[in-house]
Amino acid sequence: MSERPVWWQAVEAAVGAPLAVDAVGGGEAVIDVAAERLLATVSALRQAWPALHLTAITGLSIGGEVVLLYHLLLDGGLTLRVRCPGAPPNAPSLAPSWPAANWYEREAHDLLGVAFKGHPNLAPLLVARDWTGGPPLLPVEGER
Amino acid sequence: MHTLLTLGELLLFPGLAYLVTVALLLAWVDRKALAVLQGRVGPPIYQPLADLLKLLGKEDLDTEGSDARLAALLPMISLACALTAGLMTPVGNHAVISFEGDLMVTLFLLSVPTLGLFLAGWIVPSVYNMLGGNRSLLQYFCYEVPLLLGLAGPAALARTWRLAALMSAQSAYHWHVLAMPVGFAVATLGLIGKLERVPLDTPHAKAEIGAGPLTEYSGRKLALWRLTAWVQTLVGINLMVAVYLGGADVVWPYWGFGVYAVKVVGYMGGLALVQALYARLRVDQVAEMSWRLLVPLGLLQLAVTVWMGA
Amino acid sequence: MSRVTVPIGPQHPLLKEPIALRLDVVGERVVAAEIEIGYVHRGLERLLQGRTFQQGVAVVERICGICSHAHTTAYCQAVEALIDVDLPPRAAAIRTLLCELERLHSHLLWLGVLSEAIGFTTVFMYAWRDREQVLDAMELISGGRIAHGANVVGGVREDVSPAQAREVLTMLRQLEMQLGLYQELVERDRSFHRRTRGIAVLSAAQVQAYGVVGPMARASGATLDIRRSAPYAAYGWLEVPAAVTNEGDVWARAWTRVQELQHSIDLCRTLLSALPAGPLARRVAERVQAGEAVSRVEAPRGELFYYVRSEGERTAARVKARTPTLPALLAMAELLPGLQTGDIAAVVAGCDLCMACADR
Repeated sequence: MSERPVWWQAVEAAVGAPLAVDAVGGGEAVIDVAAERLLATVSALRQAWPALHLTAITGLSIGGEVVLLYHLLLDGGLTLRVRCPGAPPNAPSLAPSWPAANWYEREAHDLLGVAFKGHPNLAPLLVARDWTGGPPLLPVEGER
Repeated sequence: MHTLLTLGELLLFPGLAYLVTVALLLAWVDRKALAVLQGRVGPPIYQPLADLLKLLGKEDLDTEGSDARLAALLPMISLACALTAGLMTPVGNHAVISFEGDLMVTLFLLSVPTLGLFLAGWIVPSVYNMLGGNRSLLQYFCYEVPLLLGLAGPAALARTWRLAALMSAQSAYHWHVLAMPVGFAVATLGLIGKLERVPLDTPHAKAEIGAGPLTEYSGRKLALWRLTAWVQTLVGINLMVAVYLGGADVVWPYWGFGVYAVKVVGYMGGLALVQALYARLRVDQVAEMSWRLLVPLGLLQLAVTVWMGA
Repeated sequence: MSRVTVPIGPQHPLLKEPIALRLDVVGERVVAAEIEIGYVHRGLERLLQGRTFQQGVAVVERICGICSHAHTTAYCQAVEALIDVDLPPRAAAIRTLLCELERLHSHLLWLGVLSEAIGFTTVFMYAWRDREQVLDAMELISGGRIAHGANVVGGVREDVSPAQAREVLTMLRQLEMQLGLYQELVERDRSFHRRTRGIAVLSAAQVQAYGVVGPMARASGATLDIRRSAPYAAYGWLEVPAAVTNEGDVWARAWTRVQELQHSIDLCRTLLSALPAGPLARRVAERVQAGEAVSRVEAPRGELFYYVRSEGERTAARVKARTPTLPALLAMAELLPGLQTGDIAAVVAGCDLCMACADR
């Protein structure tokens, strides 16, 4: 990469390690962030760019592991990739410091069963309250 | 013979049958005029009657926790009062009952349905009904005074509270609306508030509290409430035509009824125009408009009238 | 005074789609609000897994009945980024044309819904009548009024013939004449101002905190507009003006949208007057190489975000859509307490909710 994007330094300082950046289709960058560094990274970014916009949180289930993608928008798009270990998978919650994350986290909790530590209210958002079939996006035994 | 005639007057013309028929026709005029103003086609002329008959045939549900007898009684009392008021307002140039002070009695009878509506909302354990009932009552306190002030001007000028005398006073010189345009406007807004029409229709603001006090009503009871509202509209307009627009016999005495009918339909069209031109006011805005604007204006008009007349 | 809970929804005359608002009201003032969604959750994101990428277009089109074309545009764009195919210019122009027509009908619909909520039925009737013309124009081009089926991965399916272009231009001219009425309404009508001015003010800080997008954000001074910041399809060739104001109230939301109506008409004209020649779509393989792609589109309600992941098969591994209604709902929950009950309708309608989008 010839020219480093504007957010590079702030993110590198917050992540605490040299950045490995993947480009994603659509021309936006993806950075791996350890779950325990997520809050620090996001707050560093928010300090550097007061207009930072949280577009979405995508939950994925890749080979039995849950991965969360935090899609941000500053000058261009930037995605933070966080692996969530554990069963049920867990991640720190952004919601107390950034209300925009509140419902996106609830949605990830609904669809993938991610337990967000510190979330004010993880009640079902999309799935029915009496739904007992487990998170719909997690792979089910015997189904491809 | 005289009894028979009176009975005919009460039941046929200009009593029950006539009032109900004309109220339904007027409801059609209202809806059609609004539709035309809004670029729509509008309903056919029999639509209000069809609505009424259909509602009468629908299942009449009693809400759990409400007083079924009172719920059935309230619309009957309200309709009876509205119809009685109709007997006192001149149709053409003739009213069935006419005496000194009939203007006040008519106004009183017209306010009974509002109180009935408030009670109807209050006895049903539903928040929409309750809020709607509250708003009905609140609005009653807001428009009743301007309406009374607006009607008091002509009464002061003609020195009578009798509708027939007010009409003949106007044929002697000119329509009261020409002498007291401000009073006319105040009374019209008061009437719009009484009839709970846009922009003063907060008691049944659909987007906020459903049908307001009538949310849980259906079938016959709802049909009677509807009919009450239509009869109220007719009587209210009759009143305005008699007090402000010269009633029937100003221009051509022999065509009194036609003149009167044209005025009623015209006034109805005016109300439809107001409905088409304005958004609904909020409850606090209704109170503010009434007490800060209409009441002072009404008082001013009355004071000027009394001073000029004295 | 006693505290009562007023339930609005899941079925209520104010709402066009199911959502439950539970408002605690004291007298005529709202003191607390709780929002519950999910009544139209259809599991479409799950449904998209295991469908081929072309089949996915039909599914995402059915997420929403108002911004269906924005959904397919965002989805196709993401898949095209995965395949690394570039859009033919004519396809880009037609896709953009439909996007702008959609914005027109969505904003008109919104104006009607807001007007009805404040009891201004005349404006409601006019706005929806004018919206019909836009729907007719879209039907003329695509054959569908609501689901257009115009987008495919790699391009568009529907061409715009010169005769169709002329007809759409005529429609735009008629619509523009009507537009003066709405501008007058927003700028001068006192009756309209009384019910919308100074109500439910959303600050710029709240826009950022809740991630609000689209006209609602632009009404609060945010400049976020994907058409301008990251032009896609044909927006790179066009000049998209900004409609930004700082009031942040319901009125500002109306003002922003009415400005955008004019802008959309201008953009449609520009596109129609110079439609580039060329093919409508590129041929693409059914199998998509492994990878992930994001795409952002400025839907009528704001930024629409798609994430698509392929594991090298014929079918999608994950499709995620983030619709503009979600942050609007979050912000609305914050705006409701403190309002008068009479303003609830204006505020809820003013947030331009699309529950089918939010629930998916």
